[in-house]
Amino acid sequence: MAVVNFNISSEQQLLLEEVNALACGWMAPAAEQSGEAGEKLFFDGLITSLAEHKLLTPTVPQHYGGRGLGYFSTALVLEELGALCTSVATVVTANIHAASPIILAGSTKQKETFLPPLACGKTHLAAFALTEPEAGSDITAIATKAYRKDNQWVINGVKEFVINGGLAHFTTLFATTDAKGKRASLVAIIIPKDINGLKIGAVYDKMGIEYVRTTKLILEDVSVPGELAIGPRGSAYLLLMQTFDRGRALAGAVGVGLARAAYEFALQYSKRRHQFGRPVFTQQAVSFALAELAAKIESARLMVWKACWLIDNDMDYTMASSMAKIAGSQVAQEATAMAMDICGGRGYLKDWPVEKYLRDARVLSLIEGTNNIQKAVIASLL
Amino acid sequence: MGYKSIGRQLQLAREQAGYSQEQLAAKIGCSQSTLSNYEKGKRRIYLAQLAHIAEILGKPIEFFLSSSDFNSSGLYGSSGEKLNVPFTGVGTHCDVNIQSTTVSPDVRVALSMDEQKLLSDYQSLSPEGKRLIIDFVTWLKKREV
Repeated sequence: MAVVNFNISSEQQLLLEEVNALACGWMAPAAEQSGEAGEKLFFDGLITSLAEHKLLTPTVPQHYGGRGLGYFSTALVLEELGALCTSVATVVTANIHAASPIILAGSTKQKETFLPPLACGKTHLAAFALTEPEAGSDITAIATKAYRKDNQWVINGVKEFVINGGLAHFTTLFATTDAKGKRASLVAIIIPKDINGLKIGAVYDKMGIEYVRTTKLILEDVSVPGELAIGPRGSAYLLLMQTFDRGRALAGAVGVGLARAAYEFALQYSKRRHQFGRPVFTQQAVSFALAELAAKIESARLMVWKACWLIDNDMDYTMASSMAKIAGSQVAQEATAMAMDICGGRGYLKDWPVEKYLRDARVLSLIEGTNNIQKAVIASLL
Repeated sequence: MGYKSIGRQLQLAREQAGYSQEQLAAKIGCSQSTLSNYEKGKRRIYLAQLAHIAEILGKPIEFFLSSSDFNSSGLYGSSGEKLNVPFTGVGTHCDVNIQSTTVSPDVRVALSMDEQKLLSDYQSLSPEGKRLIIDFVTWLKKREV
């Protein structure tokens, strides 16, 4: 029996064509607008089209109206989106992240309530709220408190860097029931939109992925029904780790897509641009650099595919996922920097895509757990 | 990373239940080496697998996420009052807040025979039975105040 197959299926090929067709539909209108207005139009348009095609949260099971894509197929979609618009890919990743605990361990009622809207054809976003002013990678430092009052959870605290903050149909939030922040006291709670006490704080002005709305969330005596806690009591820590372990492979896929876009742009430019009477590409310094980059992109892609294959086959995927995340984010940063070097001064201009690629790439080693955290995860398993 | 302490708790629960690694591995459908790696924290255990193991070993999921003194946990009512009843129950969200407290092993050893029997009987009950016991003890405490 063949354990590994490097051919994507005809369904997966159609999926990629579908995503590209959706993007193509917005390229011409976006091109008519200048600069950031065009970029914003493309971002908004592609988000709308993805929602219509149930690809904004592609992992929502078919039983709840979604596409029910596995992680391998989802990674293919995210590589494509990473190449088209990293901001869109980030929004999709955030939606998947927020839905993941519900898919993994949510009650039937939670699934029936919160999953179908993510696949209803309309632009419904979801958010994932974990990071705090004093807690990020250190889960035990979480200060957002949740306590039971009658049959409600009452939540107080501040969350930072919440993607889709203030726009989300619901937010999957992690809090602690214990001031000491023990792992067993972590609780995952679904916070519906427009609930009393949920306030939008600062909207962050970022270096890259600028069309992704990222905010601070402030919770002041937010009260939600007790039934909105996800999973068995005491399971939130594992649920969180598992959500991260899965999401990291997808972040790697976004990096591969972005790296591919920068590489392809630089390759085409190097073959078009002439210096000393011949294309820049014929200079060994350039062609070897691009050859090496092509190999690294392929390597990162295969690492993403392996991690996602392990997830889909319910095998041990933690280390592979962290490795894929490191590989994808690093190759994105390397490719975008190299693309700028090859394009020279033009690459530095705002009306060329390369400078945006470079800015967008920088965040990939920071999100989903920094790359140093990935190394700590890998080291803990050696 | 937290998985080493989960592994230690897993080993403790397995030994308390009287299973060898081979026996428990066979029961949960994995290899002995996989279970060994779970216990060493060299492999991350995922929620579905831990829930399965917890069910077999008769422990709540919290047990595996807490330090070794979980057996001395106290129960807290919805109004925050502490109920001095050792707790091991099913891992579902309910109206009772659980918080671990640090108690030395000597204290656990100091349980009387009656207390040990009571605890053992409680642990063998269904979730509904455990709920009734908690409610009854809560009612008794209020009555005696």
